[in-house]
Amino acid sequence: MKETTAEENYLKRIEELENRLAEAEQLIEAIKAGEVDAFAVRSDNQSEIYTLQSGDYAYRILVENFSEGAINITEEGLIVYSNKYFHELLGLTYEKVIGTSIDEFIHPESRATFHSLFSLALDGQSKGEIKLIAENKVIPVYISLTSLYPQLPTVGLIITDLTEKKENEKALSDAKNFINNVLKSTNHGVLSYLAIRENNKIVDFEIRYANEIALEQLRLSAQEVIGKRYSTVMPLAKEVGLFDKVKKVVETRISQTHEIKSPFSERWFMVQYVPLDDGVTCTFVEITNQKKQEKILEDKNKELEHSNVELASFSYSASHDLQEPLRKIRTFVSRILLQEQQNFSESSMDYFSRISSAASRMQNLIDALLSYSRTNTIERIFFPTDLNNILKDTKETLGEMIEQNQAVIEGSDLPIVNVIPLQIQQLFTNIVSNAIKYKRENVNPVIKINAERVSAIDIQGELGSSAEEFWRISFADNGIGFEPQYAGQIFELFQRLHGKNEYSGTGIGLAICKKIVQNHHGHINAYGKPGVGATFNIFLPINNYIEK
Amino acid sequence: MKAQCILLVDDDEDDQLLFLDAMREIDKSIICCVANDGLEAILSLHTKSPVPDLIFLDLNMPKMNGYQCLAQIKKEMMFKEIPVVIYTTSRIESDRDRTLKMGASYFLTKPSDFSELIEELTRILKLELKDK
Repeated sequence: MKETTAEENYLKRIEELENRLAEAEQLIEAIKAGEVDAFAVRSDNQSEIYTLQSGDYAYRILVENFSEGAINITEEGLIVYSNKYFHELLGLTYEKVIGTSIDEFIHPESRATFHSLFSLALDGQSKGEIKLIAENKVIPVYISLTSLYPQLPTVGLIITDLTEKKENEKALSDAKNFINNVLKSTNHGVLSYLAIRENNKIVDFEIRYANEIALEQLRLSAQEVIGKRYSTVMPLAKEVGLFDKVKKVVETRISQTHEIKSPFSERWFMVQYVPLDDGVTCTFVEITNQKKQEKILEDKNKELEHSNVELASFSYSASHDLQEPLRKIRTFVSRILLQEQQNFSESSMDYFSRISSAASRMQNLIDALLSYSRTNTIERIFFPTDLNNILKDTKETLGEMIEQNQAVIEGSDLPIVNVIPLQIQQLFTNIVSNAIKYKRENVNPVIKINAERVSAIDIQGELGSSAEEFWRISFADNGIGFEPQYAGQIFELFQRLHGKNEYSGTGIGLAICKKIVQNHHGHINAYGKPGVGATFNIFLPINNYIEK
Repeated sequence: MKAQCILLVDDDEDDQLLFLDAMREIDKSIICCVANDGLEAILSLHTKSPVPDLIFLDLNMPKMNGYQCLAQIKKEMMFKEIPVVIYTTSRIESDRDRTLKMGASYFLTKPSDFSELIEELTRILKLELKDK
């Protein structure tokens, strides 16, 4: 039993020793594999730590997996170590990099720099920016060199890829150049000022930016302007009130545009100030030519106004003075007809009647001309006017004519429109009396007046207004009508469709209508069918656009 | 009844002739005096007798125009009661208003028909001379 025990003990001991051996072998394997940096050995109840030479394998892994390049080169420049990042950066395999001279990867432009950095590093450390080249690819890098003496006869390099940084820098500088080129390519001068404050009050400005045009106009160089004080660069600005204008924009934060005459010359500038940070951006452009044109236009307008007044007064006095001798002819003729009639032969009587009617026709012409010229000259004051009232007044004015011809005038629900009341009254009177005058024989005239809102795009013909909507007031009659081809002509001065013997008329009435509608920035047209009737449409802008 | 006397102030000879013709048609007994402008009218009022019962006054005249003449007549104690009829070619509303405001009694635009002239003058004479 004892023997068995001893044998068993031996066996147990062997097993124990085998286990420890396996453990030791495992440890050695682990050490070999770099899985263990250090281990503790216990002796006399104390632990001793043993580090292993091969423990730096962890650092190798670290360096290997760095996202920076790491290489080790000999004094002669031969690469003895390269991490994955570096050879990948060059786009080469590990084998192509190891044992190759670093010089092969240095861009010719950077060789001198590199050599001096390298010499410095032999005595310790150095840093700098260089360019690498591999497979025709240029790579900007930042290198940090450290001598590994005396432990190793080599120099270690950490290489940081600057490609992205350089690209960013380039993008930034490209953007800056682009903006500069944009600012250069405009014919506007651009300046930017920053407020200089004392006790929170703006006392001056620093000029932060001036584009080329601005410098050209100031006749100064960039050095003389940028970073300088506003009061120094533009000494007259305060005097002519410009400084206060700029100050106001900064204080109120409200952009301003001014037309400013140069204090030195006859040149004009349009200057715009827009607040930016605690300052303004000033944009200006020369408008001397526009100003000249404006002045010419203004002068021309005055001239035109003057000649219009002159023309009006001429046509007024011409018609007025023409009336005088005419009135006398008519009065003397009527006197003779009244008192001497009995002494006349039949033909003399006929001739005298002809003189009389010719003179009376001339009187009508002159009256109509006077009234035509008056539509140009009398005051054009617009009032919101109820057209129903205008129609009522028209019926009263034409009362006798309406009665004599048994005319029926139908019209209601007319709108209130902003018009020159007297002129619209005349317009209505002319159109209605025209409709009655050109009635069909044995047919009582019926005139229907309607109002309707229409869109500007539906109106054919020239409109004197940019209004989008118009009132169309239509006057439809059952008179003799007219051939459609005359629709355009009838509004021309002295244009008549009928012989004098058929219908009396001056050929001015509808011209006056056209003039009045033009004065209202509207439009007039007419449609006719012989023997059926005619329709006159007047279009009046609904909103009160007065511009032309 | 004493003879009626009318003063016509007009520089136009044709109008003078027509006026006098018409007056003769209306009433041959009326005495008509003529002044060729405002100044002559004022002089005539001061120097000639009798003082007219009615004055017909043109507006557009040389030397002294109708407005000035009217103002002068209305200023003088002796003449300001004489009715003044503005007798003009003007048909302008503002001329009418202005002269009526200044004291004129009527505003007559010279008609271009002789019968109408007679009618108008008859009407005015009836109104203005009925009391005399």
